[in-house]
Amino acid sequence: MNQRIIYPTDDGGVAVIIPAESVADAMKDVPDGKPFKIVDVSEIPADRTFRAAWEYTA
Amino acid sequence: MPAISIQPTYPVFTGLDGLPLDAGYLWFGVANLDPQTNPTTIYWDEAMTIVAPQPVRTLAGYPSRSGTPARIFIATDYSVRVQDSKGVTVYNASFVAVEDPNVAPFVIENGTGQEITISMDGSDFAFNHTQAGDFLTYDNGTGEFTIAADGQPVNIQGLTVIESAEAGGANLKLSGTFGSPAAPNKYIRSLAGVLEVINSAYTTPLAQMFDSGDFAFNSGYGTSKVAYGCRAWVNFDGTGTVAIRGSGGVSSITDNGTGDYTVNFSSAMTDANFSASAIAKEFMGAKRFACTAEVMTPSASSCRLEIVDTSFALADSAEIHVAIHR
Repeated sequence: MNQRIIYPTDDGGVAVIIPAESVADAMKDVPDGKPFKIVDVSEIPADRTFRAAWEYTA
Repeated sequence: MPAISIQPTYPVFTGLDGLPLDAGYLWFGVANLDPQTNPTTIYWDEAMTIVAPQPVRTLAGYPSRSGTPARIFIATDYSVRVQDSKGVTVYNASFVAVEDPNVAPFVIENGTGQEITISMDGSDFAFNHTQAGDFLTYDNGTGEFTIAADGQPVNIQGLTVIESAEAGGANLKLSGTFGSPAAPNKYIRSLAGVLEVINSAYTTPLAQMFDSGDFAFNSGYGTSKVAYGCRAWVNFDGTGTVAIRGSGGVSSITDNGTGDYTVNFSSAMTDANFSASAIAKEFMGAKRFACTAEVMTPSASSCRLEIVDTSFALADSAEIHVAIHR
């Protein structure tokens, strides 16, 4: 699965959804009312040292 | 094909003079009642779909329909009155039995007191042996097909059906043995509402399915016990590019931050009172420690957990395993 769903968290960070089978099946896991984007996995930093500093940009 | 003797196609009614009755009247009624005041339904066709109006007129002795000889069909015993063209009664018969040629059984005797009878009644079928309990029947009304062999197995193309004679057998619809000499037979039965797979000695249930939906099996329990399966599981890497290695019943995981993940279920649980088991591991140099995987906020649709390292700080782990039982 090379796609991820990202959405902003309430504290200003960003959550990353990793689908198990398909993005379509995982869409339900985006909290109601949250904006989201489907991105390629390559757009997600692999370095998690500053994970808490990640931000969501529309 | 053997030769068949030709029989008269149409019945012939005669008058008191013995000659074929022309322009006479035929009345058919309920058995033992006056046929004119208590008529019964008669038909022109064997399938009994075309009702014949009464009285039926005769033509040169034959029952007639639209000016030509015809046959008359009836489903039950009846009474009959025959009158000539002037309405004078020729004869009355208060009871005439309908004989169904299919009822007469076909009997095979072997000369030793043993016999086999084959009979049909309408669409029902029966095959009987003189030994009590040996029979094969088909009931067209209920659609039930029954086989019995007086306690002895009946083999049907590899399937063995045994008689429902054990205690509680009223609920036993099918017992059978399956398998081959190389694979010991097992039995399947439905007893008192429980579908069971029985061992080869026909003494111990190996697996049971109850009306409640519970499934029980003996897989090292010692006896067949109700078991509960894992409803959802996932094995994922929470480091680097977070990725799922394998899962079941899980639609996704959410990476909420360092050491903070949510497992989302494909189908919602009945409630949030499931049992979640989670474990993670941490490497510190060459040493490996088990991390605390704490279930934080379970809901019917997901389960959030946090991974804490040996310093009690949130930490990512390369091995996170989660299982949900309900």
